[in-house]
Amino acid sequence: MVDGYFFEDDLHCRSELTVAADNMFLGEGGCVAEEGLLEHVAQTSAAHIGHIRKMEGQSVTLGYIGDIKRAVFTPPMPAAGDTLHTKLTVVSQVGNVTLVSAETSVDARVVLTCRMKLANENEGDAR
Amino acid sequence: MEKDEMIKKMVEILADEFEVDAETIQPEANIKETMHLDSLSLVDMVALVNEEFGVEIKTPDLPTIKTFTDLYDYVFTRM
Repeated sequence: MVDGYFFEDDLHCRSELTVAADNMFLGEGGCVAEEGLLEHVAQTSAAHIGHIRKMEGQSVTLGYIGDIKRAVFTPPMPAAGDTLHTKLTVVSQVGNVTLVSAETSVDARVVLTCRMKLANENEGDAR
Repeated sequence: MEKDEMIKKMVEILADEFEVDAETIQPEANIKETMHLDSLSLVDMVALVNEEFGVEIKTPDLPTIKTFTDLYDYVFTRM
């Protein structure tokens, strides 16, 4: 759910996704379901956390969505062919838990704002 | 901001964010037990303190912050 990832600094990045006609999150009305937008934010966060770990010479570990807060969706939801633009900010990080805030827009219209926590496995965690 | 003022504000925002009774937030009470914090919600407390008081709680310092008095002292000395 991410086509493009753009690193800005350790606390900020941007990402993009052009919704393909066969995107698995397209609902009946031909629009991306809310969970699809959340997955887009989660994968943006994962890309950012992974990028920073690689820059620091650490291995990239599996991440999980810890929780989602203050999610506000503003219809109409994106459709096939639309491009999502997301701005992500790392709000805080404690150990392997990262709290991010995200704003996703289509054609400069905000469709989602939310906060999300990602918990990353520690290196060497048994799977 | 005076320390008393900071403590009053801290109690208000913590009680609101973690949905606990402000009376339970006593100076010598254990933070994690009082606010039922796990590793996920601990991040919320760190973010809240940073956003409201401009103080970043460093991860290595977290084990030293057990009671609310520890938190008040940590934040006040860094404001």
